[in-house]
Amino acid sequence: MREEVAVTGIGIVSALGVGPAATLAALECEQPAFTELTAFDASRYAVRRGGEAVAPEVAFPGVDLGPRRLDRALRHLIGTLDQALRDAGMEGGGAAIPCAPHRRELLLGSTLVAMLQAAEFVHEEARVGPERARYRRLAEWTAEAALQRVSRRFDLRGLSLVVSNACASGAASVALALDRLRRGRADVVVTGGFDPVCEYTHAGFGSLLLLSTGGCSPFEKGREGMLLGEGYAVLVLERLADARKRGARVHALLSGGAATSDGFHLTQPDPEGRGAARCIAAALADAELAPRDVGYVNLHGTGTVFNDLSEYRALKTVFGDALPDVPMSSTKSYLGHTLGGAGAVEAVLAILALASGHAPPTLNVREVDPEMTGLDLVRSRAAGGGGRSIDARAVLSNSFGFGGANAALVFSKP
Amino acid sequence: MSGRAPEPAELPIVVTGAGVVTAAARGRAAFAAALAQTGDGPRPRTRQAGEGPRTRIEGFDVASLPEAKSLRRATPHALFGLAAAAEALAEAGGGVAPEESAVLVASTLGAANFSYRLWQELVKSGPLGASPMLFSEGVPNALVGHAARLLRLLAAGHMIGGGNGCGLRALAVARDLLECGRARRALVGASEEWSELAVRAYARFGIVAREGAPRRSARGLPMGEGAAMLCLERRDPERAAAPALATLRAVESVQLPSLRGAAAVDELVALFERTFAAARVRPSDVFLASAANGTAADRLEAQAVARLAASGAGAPRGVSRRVRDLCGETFSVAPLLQVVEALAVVAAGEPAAVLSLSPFASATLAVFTAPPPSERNG
Repeated sequence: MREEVAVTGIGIVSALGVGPAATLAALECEQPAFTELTAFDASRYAVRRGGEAVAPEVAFPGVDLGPRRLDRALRHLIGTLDQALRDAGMEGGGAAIPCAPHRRELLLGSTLVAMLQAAEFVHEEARVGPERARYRRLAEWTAEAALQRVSRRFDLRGLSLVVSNACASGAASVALALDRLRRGRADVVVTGGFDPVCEYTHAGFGSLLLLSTGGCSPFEKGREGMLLGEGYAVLVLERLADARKRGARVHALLSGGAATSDGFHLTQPDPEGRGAARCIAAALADAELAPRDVGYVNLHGTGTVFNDLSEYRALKTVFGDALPDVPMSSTKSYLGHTLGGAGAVEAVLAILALASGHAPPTLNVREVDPEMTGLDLVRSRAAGGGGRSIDARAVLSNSFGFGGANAALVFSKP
Repeated sequence: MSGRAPEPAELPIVVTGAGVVTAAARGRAAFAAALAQTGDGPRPRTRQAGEGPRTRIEGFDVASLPEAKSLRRATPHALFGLAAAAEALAEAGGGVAPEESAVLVASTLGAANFSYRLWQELVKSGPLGASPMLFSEGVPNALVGHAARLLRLLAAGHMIGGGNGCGLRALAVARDLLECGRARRALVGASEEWSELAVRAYARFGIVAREGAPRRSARGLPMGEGAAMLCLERRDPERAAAPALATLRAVESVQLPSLRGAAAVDELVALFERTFAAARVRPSDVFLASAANGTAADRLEAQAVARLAASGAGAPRGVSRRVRDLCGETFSVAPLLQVVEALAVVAAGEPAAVLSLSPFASATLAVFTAPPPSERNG
């Protein structure tokens, strides 16, 4: 019989707030958390809004977030890990984690890692020239430097890696973590995803005309595109038997996960959503569940024309006649697209929906794209809805990204 | 014969193909021949070897790649990786459905040159400097996306970031994918392109040497570039006709406290012991493809090997530093090239281990053995 894997710790920071309780409360307010961007000088850009979290020092008072020279993303990541480990009853990591040091692993998803430090370097190099610029900032940019810092901080001595599958990074890292535990390679895996708001991605997505000058309205008839946000989410995973043995609180079971590639185009999704459909179907099969067993889907739902349509077609392929019976929503309408963090952030939001029995609505949707027949998109109070009470046995979270990367996760009640 | 089909986890994981692109040689056979001419046996400092490594790939011909025209904007990192991947898959042969074929690529620097150029343009020109081409081809998983599309690898596609060891760590997660039944085949490898920015940065920390730097003051090796890819498969009966170059017996990883001191030596020795035990091989039977790269990590590795020898477990029967002698410091690619070196040892029936040690003190060790004769080639 296959080992079941439990989520015993959760950490989350985004524009919605710090920690699961604050995040859930913010979702219930049904207000988008977008503000004028302060992370860089956005005044030169057509789109100047995004979903920024509070500063790491404000989010985590009293927590050692590492040297001040570390960039905002790594300091937030350290704080979020600390929060997740505390939640799992493993405060501070190290000896509080009940297994040998080399059996504790760290699998994270990110597209930018410590790119903000690289940004500082490039700005400085432009000012003072290549000989006088401080190269230590670049050394901190690499994934390896980030992993070393975090794994040492919490004494996670086993395998560590960063998955960079674009916007599916966070979910992909969680899916890989599931396999590490099922195969008995590790006893505790700390996993998740993160990315900050950064001029690099803001300018890049802007150059591809994927950002919205209005709000973020996934699946809306007149949707214009996405807004970016910053997000950090960490899950502490262990085998259910181990969690039960130590009396840990189990938030949810990570019942299934999968990743696939579209093999279609570097930046455009397969219009028919074939790769995404294979991924969702594989995750459900992995969880040994049928589509009708799913009580809520946290959609990738970026708000771009092609992405949403591709996801809809994938869902229609997998759910078939059951599609109108499964409530779904995109929480990017609240906090923006957190890129490499999105898969993990939205996994946490899906777990919160499962545990609270409340599916959050998609904001800013007045009229669903008429091509998306049968889609049960949960509406906001402003649109005559107000979230949805659910009695779900399981929930699904979708993530898709550049490179044709797809990942899907299934969580169920313990 | 039992009527029960074996579970994926019960089947050995074998290497069925390999591909290499380096400045010294293109193709696995040519690379093996070049290595053979590099000499062998332990040397105190790799970079003092003979003529010095060949580091830059000149005049790389993309015409042999599938749909080469569609790759005209791709990074050298992507092109090198695709060429190595195509070679590995050609050796492994067909017979595995695209939906059952995964791809995992590791890289330390990835498309850093494109990212750097895009940043420079943004600093200079603001939003007008944003190039859709640099942004799209500069995403970390661009190579994975190209490989999925062009080589029809439609199961999981993962880009693994990290230092020197991320290529071996990609092997570890690929093994999980295969054993969990998520794919029947996984193309696993690493790719790096030369970067002036990386040389400037890493030379200051003694991780690579500048070309032409006086040897007395320089540390590390000149930076090289290239790619190495392996095709891993579950050895299921339906694929009995595929070549089996080696069996992946174990791969373990650890974050060391540092690259110096007794605690680091203890941890590295423990990694050796754990991995050899998991692979069920005796250290004294194993040929070790060393991580030595002319940095502080060399001393740590030597101390750990000496400790193994003194412990009675026995030291590896041979240690090679030839890959970096030949190619320079290719970061994530080097350990995969070491695996290619190990394949030649395994072909002679001997077990081989591959070590990576990163400047950030992470260590990964993989052990390969010869498949049973009945499984080598159907």
